[in-house]
Amino acid sequence: MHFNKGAASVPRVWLLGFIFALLLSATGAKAQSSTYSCTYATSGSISGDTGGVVTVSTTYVEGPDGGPYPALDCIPRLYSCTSGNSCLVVVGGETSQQVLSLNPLSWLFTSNLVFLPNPTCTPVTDTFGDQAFQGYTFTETVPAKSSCGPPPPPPPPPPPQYTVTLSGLGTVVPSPIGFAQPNTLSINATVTDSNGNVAPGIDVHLALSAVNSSGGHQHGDDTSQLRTGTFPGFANTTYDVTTDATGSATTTFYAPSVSGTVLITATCESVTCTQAGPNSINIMVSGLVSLQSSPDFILVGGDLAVQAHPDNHYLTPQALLKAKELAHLWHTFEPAVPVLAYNDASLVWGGTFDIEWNQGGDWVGPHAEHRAGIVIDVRANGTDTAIPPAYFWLFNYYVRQLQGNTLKEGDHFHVRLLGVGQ
Amino acid sequence: VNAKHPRLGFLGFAAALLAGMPVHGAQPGESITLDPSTGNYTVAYCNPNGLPLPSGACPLEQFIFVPGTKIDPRVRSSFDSMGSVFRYSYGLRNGASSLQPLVILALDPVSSVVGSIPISQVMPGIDDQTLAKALDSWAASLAAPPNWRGVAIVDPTGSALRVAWLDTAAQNQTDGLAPRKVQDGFRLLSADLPGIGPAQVTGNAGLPATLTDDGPVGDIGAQLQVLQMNDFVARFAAVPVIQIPSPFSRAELLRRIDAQVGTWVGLKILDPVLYTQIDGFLQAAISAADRSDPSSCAAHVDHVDKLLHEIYAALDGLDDDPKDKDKVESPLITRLAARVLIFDLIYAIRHP
Repeated sequence: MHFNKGAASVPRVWLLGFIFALLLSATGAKAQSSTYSCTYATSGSISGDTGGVVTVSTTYVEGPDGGPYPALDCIPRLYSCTSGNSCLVVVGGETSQQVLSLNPLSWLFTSNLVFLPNPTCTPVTDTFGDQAFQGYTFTETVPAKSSCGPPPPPPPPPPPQYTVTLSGLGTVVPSPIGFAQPNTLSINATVTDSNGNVAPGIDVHLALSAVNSSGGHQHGDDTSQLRTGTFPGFANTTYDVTTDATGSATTTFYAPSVSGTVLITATCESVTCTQAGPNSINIMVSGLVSLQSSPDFILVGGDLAVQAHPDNHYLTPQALLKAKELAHLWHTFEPAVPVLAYNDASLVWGGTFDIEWNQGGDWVGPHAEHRAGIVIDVRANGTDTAIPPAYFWLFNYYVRQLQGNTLKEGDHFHVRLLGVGQ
Repeated sequence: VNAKHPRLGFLGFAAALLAGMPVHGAQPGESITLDPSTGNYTVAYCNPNGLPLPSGACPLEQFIFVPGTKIDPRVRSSFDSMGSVFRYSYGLRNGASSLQPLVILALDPVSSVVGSIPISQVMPGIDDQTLAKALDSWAASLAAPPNWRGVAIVDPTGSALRVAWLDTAAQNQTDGLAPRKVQDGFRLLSADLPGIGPAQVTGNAGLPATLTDDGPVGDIGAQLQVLQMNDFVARFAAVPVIQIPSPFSRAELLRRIDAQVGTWVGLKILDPVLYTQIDGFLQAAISAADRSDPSSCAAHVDHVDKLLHEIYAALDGLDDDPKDKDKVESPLITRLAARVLIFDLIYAIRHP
């Protein structure tokens, strides 16, 4: 072992990081009546395979109470080729008598303790007249691992890493309400190991969660199964499957009648796995477009006070054309009465339009046909913007002329723009 | 009511299917039942939003659907050339056995009416101004008698129009064209030649039932919508359906006429054997036209003309009403169909 000024770099840095951790924690106090500390810094790195060179320097800091200091204060010490830790280099921070008690990694110092024979140092005299050393710098050459004796036992293998990938997700139309069969997606979970091989017999846990404010609903409990949809069983928003010989497992997602985005989180029960690939399902009526204001009609409604359903005028392109035709004909040929006041059509992605959300009707309720973008309500409530009662008959005929039809619901006409409501 | 035109009784067919029969997939207690004494349908449906009954069943609600088909309408149609366009005129008569006044006369499909915007431009996504211009120009090509209004929109196929005249004065259940009354003056202008299409007539059924919500859903709702979608009585009429090729091609026009005539067999207004004869003459005429042999083309067409005049001595009358006592309908071809075919062929042959 010899010491030189300067340092050389070697490619492996892991050892240096370890050294850093030790050095930065290596401050201590003298057992005698004085206090001082030593700080360390290093440069260079060492490869366990090839050996290398590291430079270590120390800085002496005197405490407020001064000396006395033994001559070896703040001399760094290197330990190399320690048993079971080939070519690890550790720098202690105290005199040899105090290393074991001050360094938290004292287990490393049980053998092969090597004192520095000729450290380059600068003697200093402390406030009590004792001589000490300040600012050591030395360079240590660490031998290659092969020269350090028998190889250590191999490190324990890392825990196996798996990937679970879901398929079959995408878009599904909101389920019908009532007693009709729900719309479904067949969801497949495939588990592979780190080499890409399929992993049979892995238990996978699936969990549904709804994305807040998705689907045009700015309200409600997103954890409700009416919002998230379900897996097989009664109102299950979680489900466990086990991969078969092909590494796959399949289950069914039952779409809610409410539109929105639902996430599926997949975790493995007995092994560590990472979810990859798509994880969301959009429950939506695709292709709905927004009815924009026009001189031929006005837009009303939309839970304007609370913005629970701020976008309530979405229709299919065909129905939207009918709505415009109806409004224009009405405006053109019946100029003595107000233009049509269009209220609820459908939400941006369709689905259940739970107008009674604030009356205990989250995700459910009436407005049954306002789910597919093909109906719209027209105000007929006796206000200045409504169809006057004397014109109810004629309005009905106008709708019939469009091959649509109407229902009279309390204060409005429910207009099936394409003749059907579902 | 539709005994004279059983093939047109869409609603009657639907009613026969539905009356008193359980609807497949419906919930217990749901039904659509025709009351033969009133002609109305009683719709009992499960309210999906109602609280379940103690038995677990869903609560049933009920309303009366009054169809607008308690009528026996007659539709007369005529057509004549006005230079570059054709004028179509319709008369409406409410039969003595009708129980409702007539309030809507609709033609669907109509290939075109005179207007400033081609039908093909009126599709989803059209801008509001162009749509308004199209609707306004189409409406301007329609004429209506007093208290009626003609409007035209693109029909569900997107390639033709639905033309309708509405009684704008109807405000109660006695308003509209009363039984035994006749109303003429429904007219339209079109650049297309006539064919045969359905005229849909609707009686005054009053306002729709007032419900607390959107009514039945599921299968029972779908069945009800079938009734509502077919809530009219259909009669055949001459309607614009044959577009004249541009640039003009006699052979192509004859092909289109032949294609239109071919649909009449399915409508049971043309005997299939007679159609075979007509089609043979028309194919020969088309071949002659393709060869630019106008005299041969005209000769083949003349065979069709003679064939039809053997069935109907006079085909120049305007009234195609089959109940007209002095004009007997042949089982081979209806008088209206014969008139339409001769009109179209004369145009095809005489066009320069």
